[in-house]
Amino acid sequence: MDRYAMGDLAAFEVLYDGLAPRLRAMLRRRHCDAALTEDLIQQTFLRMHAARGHYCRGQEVVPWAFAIARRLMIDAWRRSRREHGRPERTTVATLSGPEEDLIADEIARRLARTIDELPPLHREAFDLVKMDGLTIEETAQVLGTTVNAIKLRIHRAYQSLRSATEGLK
Amino acid sequence: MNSLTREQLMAAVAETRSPTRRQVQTRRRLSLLAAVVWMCGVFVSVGAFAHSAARPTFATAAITLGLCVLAVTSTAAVLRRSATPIGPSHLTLAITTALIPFAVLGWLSFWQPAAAHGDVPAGWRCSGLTLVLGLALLAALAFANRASDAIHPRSLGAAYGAVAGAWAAVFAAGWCPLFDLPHTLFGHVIPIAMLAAVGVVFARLLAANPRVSTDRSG
Repeated sequence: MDRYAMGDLAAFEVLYDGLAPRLRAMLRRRHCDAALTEDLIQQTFLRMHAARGHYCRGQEVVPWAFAIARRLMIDAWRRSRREHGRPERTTVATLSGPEEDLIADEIARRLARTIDELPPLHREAFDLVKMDGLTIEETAQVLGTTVNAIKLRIHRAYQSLRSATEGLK
Repeated sequence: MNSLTREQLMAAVAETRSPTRRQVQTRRRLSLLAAVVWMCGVFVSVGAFAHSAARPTFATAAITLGLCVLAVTSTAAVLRRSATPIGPSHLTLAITTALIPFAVLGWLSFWQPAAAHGDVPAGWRCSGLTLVLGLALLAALAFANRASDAIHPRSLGAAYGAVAGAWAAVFAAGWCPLFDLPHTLFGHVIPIAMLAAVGVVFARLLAANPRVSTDRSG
């Protein structure tokens, strides 16, 4: 990003190749369809291109890209008010035996339902850290809040998930 | 689809002009220098501190210094370099924008006993001075940071307006020796809120929103 900010256009391709897959995964996980996802990725990179001169050496790029993509996604949803389908999000390690399979299915169902029912603030922090692989600090930057607030939100999300699976172990 | 998107994006980026860091730094220095020269020039042309001679010198110095501290603090909160290019959070910008007018009012009220006595006018001249100075700084800030914010340009614009108002308040309070609540509100505080509102209008300039076609059909 530093080379790109100084005017090296070839560095943009490196930036794109490094960031686009992560952005794509993040957007798809939030139920954006393929066309919208690609459009939002384009828009994200064009905004980064427009603002590249304001990038300072040493600043983190990933939270910036995620924050722009997230903002664009929210704007797109508000604009279109489109209904999005909910993809299957449950994957649980295969256990042996029919009884274990039943328990695994039940745990997966409860976890999926609990994740869906998490308050939006907790859900957002949980998704960015656990699904998108951002650090706590990066997540705090993306969401414009403090590290402690993110830790608290994730802790609360864990509490909800733990209580949802109680009695099934 | 991905390779198509990638090709189109590379083409769009190659076609879309965007300043490099060096160009941004030059633009920033020149525009802020122009604003400072303009503000000092206007301040001197209206009489500078001689206009507030009816007020004790220590009070003028304390008022000016206090407002300087406020302006520096708010500038640091809004313009400081953060760990990412995202900049200050929406909450930080909103709090800074909202606090500045109240802080100016509070500080001027605190020094009310030292104000010059006599008939206090409505405050048109103070209001005009604050706006003339603040608008120049706001325009410089917006121009210097053009296309810099891709996330919350309206909040940033409002915060720039309030910060410009805080610096304008330093000069206006150093120039005006009077205190009266309606005068202070109309001449010194409301213009800051007006500058914050004008800053929202400048959001279009601040938004990193390239005008390129991203239509994938062609």
